[in-house]
Amino acid sequence: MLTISNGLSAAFSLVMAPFVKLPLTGMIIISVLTGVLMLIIYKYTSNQDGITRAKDRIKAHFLAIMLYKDSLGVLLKSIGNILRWNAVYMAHQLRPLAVMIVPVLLLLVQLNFWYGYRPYQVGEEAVINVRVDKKVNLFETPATMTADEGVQVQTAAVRQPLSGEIAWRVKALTPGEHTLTIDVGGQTATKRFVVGDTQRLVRLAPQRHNGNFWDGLLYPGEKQLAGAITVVNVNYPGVEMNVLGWEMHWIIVYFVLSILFGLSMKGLFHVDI
Amino acid sequence: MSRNKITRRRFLQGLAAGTAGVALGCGDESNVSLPTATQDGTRVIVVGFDGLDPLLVRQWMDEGRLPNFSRLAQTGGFSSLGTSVPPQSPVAWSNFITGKNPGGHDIFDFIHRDPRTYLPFLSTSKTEAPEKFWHIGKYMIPSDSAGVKLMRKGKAFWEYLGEAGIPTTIFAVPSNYPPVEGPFRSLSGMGTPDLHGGYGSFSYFTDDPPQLAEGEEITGGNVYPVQVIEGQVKGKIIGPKNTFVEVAENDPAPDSEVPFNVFIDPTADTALLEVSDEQFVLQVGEWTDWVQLRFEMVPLVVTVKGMVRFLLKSVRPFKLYVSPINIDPREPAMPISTPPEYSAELCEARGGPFHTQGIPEDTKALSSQVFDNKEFLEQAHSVLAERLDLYHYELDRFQDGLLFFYFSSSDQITHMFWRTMDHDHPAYVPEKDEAFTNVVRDTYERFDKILGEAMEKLDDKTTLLVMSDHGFAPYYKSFHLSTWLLDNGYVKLRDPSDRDSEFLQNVNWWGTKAYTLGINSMYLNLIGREGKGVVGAADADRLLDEIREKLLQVVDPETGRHVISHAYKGSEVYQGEYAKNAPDLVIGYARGYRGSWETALGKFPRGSLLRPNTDEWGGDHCMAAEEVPGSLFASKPIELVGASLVDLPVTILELFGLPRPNDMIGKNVFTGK
Amino acid sequence: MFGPKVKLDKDLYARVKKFADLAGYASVEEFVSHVLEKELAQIGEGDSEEEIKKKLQGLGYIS
Repeated sequence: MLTISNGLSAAFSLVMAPFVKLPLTGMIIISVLTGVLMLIIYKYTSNQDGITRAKDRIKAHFLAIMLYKDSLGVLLKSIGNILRWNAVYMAHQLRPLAVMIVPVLLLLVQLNFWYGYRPYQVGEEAVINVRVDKKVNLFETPATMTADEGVQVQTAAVRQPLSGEIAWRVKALTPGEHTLTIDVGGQTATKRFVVGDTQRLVRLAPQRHNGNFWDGLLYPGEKQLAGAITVVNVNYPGVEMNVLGWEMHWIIVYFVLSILFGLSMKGLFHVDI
Repeated sequence: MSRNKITRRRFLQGLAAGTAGVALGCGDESNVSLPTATQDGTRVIVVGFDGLDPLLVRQWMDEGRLPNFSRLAQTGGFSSLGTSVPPQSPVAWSNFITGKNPGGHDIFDFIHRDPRTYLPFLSTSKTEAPEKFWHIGKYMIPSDSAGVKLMRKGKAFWEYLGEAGIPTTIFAVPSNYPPVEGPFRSLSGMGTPDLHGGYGSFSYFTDDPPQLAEGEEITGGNVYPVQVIEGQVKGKIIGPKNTFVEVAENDPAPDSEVPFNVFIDPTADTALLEVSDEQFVLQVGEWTDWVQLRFEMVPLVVTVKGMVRFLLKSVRPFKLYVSPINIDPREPAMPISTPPEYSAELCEARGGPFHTQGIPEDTKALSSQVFDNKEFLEQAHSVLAERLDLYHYELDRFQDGLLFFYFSSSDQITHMFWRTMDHDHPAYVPEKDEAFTNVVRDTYERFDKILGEAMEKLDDKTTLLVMSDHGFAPYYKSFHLSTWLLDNGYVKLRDPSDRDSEFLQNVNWWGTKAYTLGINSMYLNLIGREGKGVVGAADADRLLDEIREKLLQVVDPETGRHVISHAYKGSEVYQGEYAKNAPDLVIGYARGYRGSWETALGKFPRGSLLRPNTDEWGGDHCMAAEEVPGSLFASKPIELVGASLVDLPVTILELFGLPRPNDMIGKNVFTGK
Repeated sequence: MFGPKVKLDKDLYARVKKFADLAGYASVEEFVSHVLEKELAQIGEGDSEEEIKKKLQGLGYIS
């Protein structure tokens, strides 16, 4: 899974490359593309005839209610029919949604690494969490961390033998992509640690891991870990998007924009939603 | 009705921190626009160094250690500055703020008493509970405005500046909490409570609690014994009482709390602290930065925010210090600035929050051995570093009008490190204190640099004043004034064997003619004023004279020196509409002596009337005003002989060409008139 | 006049009467009511001792 996910990551980085200094423009373009993608998926996976028919029926029964509002019998029957056709309409949505969810989820994962976090700033301190295999006895196994010049490792390790976790504190010294090296009883692992300015978009991977399915899906970005060190976490600070002076979570911006673009283009693609 | 009464009382107990957040905080946006320029470009900078002592400054200027102070003294002026009676900071700064003596501003001591009940309270502000509540489920939410009230009376001089359209910034002047409102910027200073409503109460979590002698207790904070279980410590930081929860009438309100976890490495001196969804890795001896704590009172509706810093003192044994819970200036639970958003603006400017508690240096932690000298200094220096960031911010943008900026370090550091520079002090312990001999001097040298930065702003339109509210003296011995009153038959106890009950709770008022509460205050038990008064108005003056005469004769048997050099009658030294609230006698101790801790709180210690002061708190100024004048430096010659605090507001107003208010009693220090 | 009555021992009554006269109260009843009201008011309002203590504690000037 991680290999696929990492491949997607690399591809997505190419898409994002022109927009690292223009976060909002990037978001708009991605939203337009998402809108188009959703429309295409919708067009080919939904039962267009069925949807049109269900919507026509619902409209017809609404009309009936308006025309025969004095006749209780017709009224009740029409309401019943509206509900029934509404259920049919909803059922028609399930298949396109089920198909859409896969690419959208993968896209969300990718977008989160660009828009969800910011790199550490110079002078900022960070806690690095590491998890090791349960077989490692942390009571007796030493753990150390080293880093290149741009990062200062400020503390010795705090080992938690019962949970198999280790923590350190580091401090960002110079902007750039740095490498942390962790050594637990002779087994080593590295992790990318990004320091930079917040104006520019950077792809950030908060976790490097040994690649089970879900971690692979959710945390691409770095090569799979092998050995006793199973997870390394860099808890990049979360960040909100600035849209015309308003701070909001990027996912809201993304969904609002892609739905707007999707709806506005449905005529263009001859799609009935 | 009776229910409301109980309810109100409970709110008072909880400081109503949350209440203010709910009832006051909403819709409290300022709509006052700040003035931007004076007409003629006049600028006045006033730097307040609390407790800067004129003798120490003189000595270190003579040694060439304070070049900027020396230069200012030569090109402008330097003199001692008369302080207030008594020379306590809230009183002295109120003199400076209002241009009146305590009779005009109603602050006579750190501690006042309610004459009806004889119970003490902090003098400068008062929490007022709301009257009406919504009762929803198990919660009760105030439906009318509640909050805190500044007890200082009299108009602040900068209110006149605001009215005249002069840009004004007042940074952390004491006795201004909550800050008076108007078209100026101000941040409240000394008198601003921690989230518990007091002067600051630390928490100390340890599996090795200090062994206390019989009757000894740790004051100024709470010690929580904890256990390290499988490398982990679980604790809770206790916040303000949750007065939003309905409980039976006589039950106390539950505490609000924020839990935390600490994981300790099996061999190294490191730990991982988890609190409020944040993680901190600490080595022994390290502090966290500010951590915001959210005390949830009513889920999703009322959350009171505070902030603390943690110090990991040791892991084996486990010792974790947590600072008093400061009001968070980014989202203040109580009003700490004018306009309300000013405190958040200051955070923005320095890139983080700062101590807001009125006296931020945790002297209590040092006095109770929770801090050692080094740890106290680290904390005090962090306060100063924050202040300096804000000082630079204000100084850099200062174009016009008045800038007042206050530094507390000179006061608190001199209180705690007088003993280390004065090797005759009973609290001086060479092994641990010798390395700290020059702490006070170093602080004065830092202030010299701070002064130098203000002096760079000087030009022909700018006047600089540097002032302190009082000076300093050693505090060698405590005098048990309460016991003296008892021994001399002015106080009668209900149970003569109980001398340790606090707050005069054991006093038989029907047999008591005079009592003391607070640091320099003594009162007669007057009929018509006190709840159980026995002294008639006709006898009062004679009785006061008698007590005064006797007190002035009290002599230290070891040295033959008089313990009390002045005893001022309230009726003689105070003028103004609040003079009626004054203590009847204000005790002016001689240099080296002070009222004992027990006296201030209404206890009656046995044994000798004088006791050597072995507390780290070894310097003081709560003596006779004549013994501890403050300092005044100015960028122009000082013409007024015997200048005192009340002269400064008059001087400042006249520098801006404003008329002198009729009720200010001072003179202009530059014209002498 | 015909309200509830309270018993005092003779000694105390004498002292109370003496004091009430001295302090200028119109009657022993007035003095006693006055004292009791004040005592009661004390119980009902204000901070508890514990709270007073807590608030004063942080002040370095006292211990």
